[in-house]
Amino acid sequence: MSIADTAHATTRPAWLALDKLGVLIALIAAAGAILPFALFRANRIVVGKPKSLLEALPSFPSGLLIGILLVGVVIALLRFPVTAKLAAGFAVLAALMIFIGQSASYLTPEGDTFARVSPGAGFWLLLFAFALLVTDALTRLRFKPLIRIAILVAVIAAIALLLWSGSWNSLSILKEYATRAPAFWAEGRTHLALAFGSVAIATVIGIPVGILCYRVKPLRAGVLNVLNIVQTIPSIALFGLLIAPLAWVAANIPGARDIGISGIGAAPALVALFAYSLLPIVSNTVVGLQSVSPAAIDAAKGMGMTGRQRLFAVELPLAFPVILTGIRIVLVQNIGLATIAALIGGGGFGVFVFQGIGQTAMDLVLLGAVPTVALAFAAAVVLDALVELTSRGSRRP
Amino acid sequence: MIEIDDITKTYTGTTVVDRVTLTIQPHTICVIVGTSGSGKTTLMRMINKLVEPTSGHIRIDGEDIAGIPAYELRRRIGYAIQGHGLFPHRTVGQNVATVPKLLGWDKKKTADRVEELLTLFQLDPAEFRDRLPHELSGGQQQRVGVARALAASPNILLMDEPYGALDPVIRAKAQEDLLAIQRKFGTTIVLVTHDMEEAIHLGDTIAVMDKGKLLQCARPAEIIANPATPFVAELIGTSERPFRLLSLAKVADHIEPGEVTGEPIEATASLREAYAELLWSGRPSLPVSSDGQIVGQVTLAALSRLAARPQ
Repeated sequence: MSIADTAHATTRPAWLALDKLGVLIALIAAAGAILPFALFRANRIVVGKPKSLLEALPSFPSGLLIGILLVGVVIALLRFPVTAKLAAGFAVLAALMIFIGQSASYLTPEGDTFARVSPGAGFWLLLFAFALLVTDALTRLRFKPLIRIAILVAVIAAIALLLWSGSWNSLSILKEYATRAPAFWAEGRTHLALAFGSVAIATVIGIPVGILCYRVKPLRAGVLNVLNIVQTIPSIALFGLLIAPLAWVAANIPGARDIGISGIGAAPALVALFAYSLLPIVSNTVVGLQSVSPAAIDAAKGMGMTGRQRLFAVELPLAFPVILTGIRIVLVQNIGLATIAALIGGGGFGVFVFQGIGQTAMDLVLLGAVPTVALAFAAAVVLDALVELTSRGSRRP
Repeated sequence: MIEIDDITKTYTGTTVVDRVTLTIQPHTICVIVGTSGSGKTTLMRMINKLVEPTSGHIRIDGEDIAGIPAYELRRRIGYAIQGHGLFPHRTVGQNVATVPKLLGWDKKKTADRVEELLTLFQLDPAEFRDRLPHELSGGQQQRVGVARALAASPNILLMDEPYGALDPVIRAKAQEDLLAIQRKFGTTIVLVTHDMEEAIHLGDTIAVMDKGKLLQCARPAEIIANPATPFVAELIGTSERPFRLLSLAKVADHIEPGEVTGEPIEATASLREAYAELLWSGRPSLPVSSDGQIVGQVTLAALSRLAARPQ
């Protein structure tokens, strides 16, 4: 390279350079553009016919979407400001969401109630590519916790608007929903009750156990090892193992059956999810308490705080962000794990997943999987924000 | 008055504090000096029962502390430690209010006391009360730590290497503040340090400890002039002795009549500072000023006599 060339290179504008993550996003998006955008099936269980970006929409919207995608890829690829990347990412995601609904109405023949249109591999890859762009931009912008929650609320509102406007009504997943709307909400409530209920019980029991393990050192290794072993039992095995003892309890202890305890159903699911939740909560409580500055504890003692005052005024508040991190891990884990409860009749969104697998109806699987993923994601964002809000003053240098 | 009577502390066979007897007079500063592992901190922590003695008694104003519940005793004794130990999740105001809150003072009284103490430590209450400790400089954090220890006006203040984490300039300022506060409130202070310079500067009495034993407890001049053991002498530093001795007295106490010209020295300066100034400027004598008036002179010959070992 001559000196003249390098001199020329330095006069280039800052945005005219490749962004490393942008290259990856562009490659994924390119694959997404080639793969089928939507799948058309004559009924819900036959093999689908792939429809490319060009075939899935009428010519004008198709050209518009391709144009939007190209602009999005260029912005991702070059070193534009992060806010521009964020805006572009959200714009492309919104376009994808709107056009997949349009595509479904376009591909479904007039009056045909058996035909199904579902998003194709191309759609999912494009969604993934630009979701990557958005999450990367959000991470780099380091928004304050409350702003992150506000963005989440805005995204939820946008999706709710799309659902309410009926523009997705031709999509197969919503057709599956339309035929089982009451069951969907009932299973949704069960799912939330299982996930949040198990975490709530584990919190109420786990934090005191953690405090005890912290105060009584000989107890610590034993308790944590037992919980570690529980954590290694495969989830389906644990559900199965609980059937016999809970059936015995239901049969032999008066009143147990009346409060819903039985060998199969929600009770063993709740117990298993609770068992999985204990280790992260107990160990995070212990770690959080151990990480409290020894000088602060010495000062608290030296100024005449009793053990209880020290615990509630100094140790627990300072350990709280770490404990909350444990609760966050467990909540996200249990929202996912609760799908397996359906296997033993515990209900939840897993019901649709397993029915769908049984009927080889992928749309039904999605009806169970998509809300589960969305719930877990929302829980993660909210709790991460809470962890940051509560660590005021204690973690920052 | 704090009477430490034949106190011993052993941990699984190791004797950390070995039969120490020491009386600390009220309204004085007693500095316990020693190397690390000498048992000086353990000895101090037995005064507020953070460590229970294996044998022996400690009496405060004649009352054996064994009969007082630990938390009650500690609320009566101020406690300031190295690295300040402020509660990172509480504001400066809440930190200072810790003991008053434990004692159940009402809101008004507590708020007034916090305001008074922050002002005393040159921390503007309006500016600092609602800040978190991590938003303060090291010197400010240390001042809040001492203010918190004094919040309930304790008669006794225990300080464990309070200035260990400060740089020399801020440390010197903090030491002056402590002396001023001690004179104002008449608090009995027990301060632990490994720094003999600090001990001589602050202490009315100095207790030297080594390997759990109390080697010597005396006034600074006595310790410098007549160290009880070679270890005490080593701790003072043989080449430092004349200067440490000079540092104990003020120019004001050794003014001679006479008129000299040149840059004067303040009467409140220590003899050590005057000596250094004489050597540095190459003059045989310095004029002494007090309130802007020249009140006499201080001579190199007189200071050299004063720096010699007392007979």
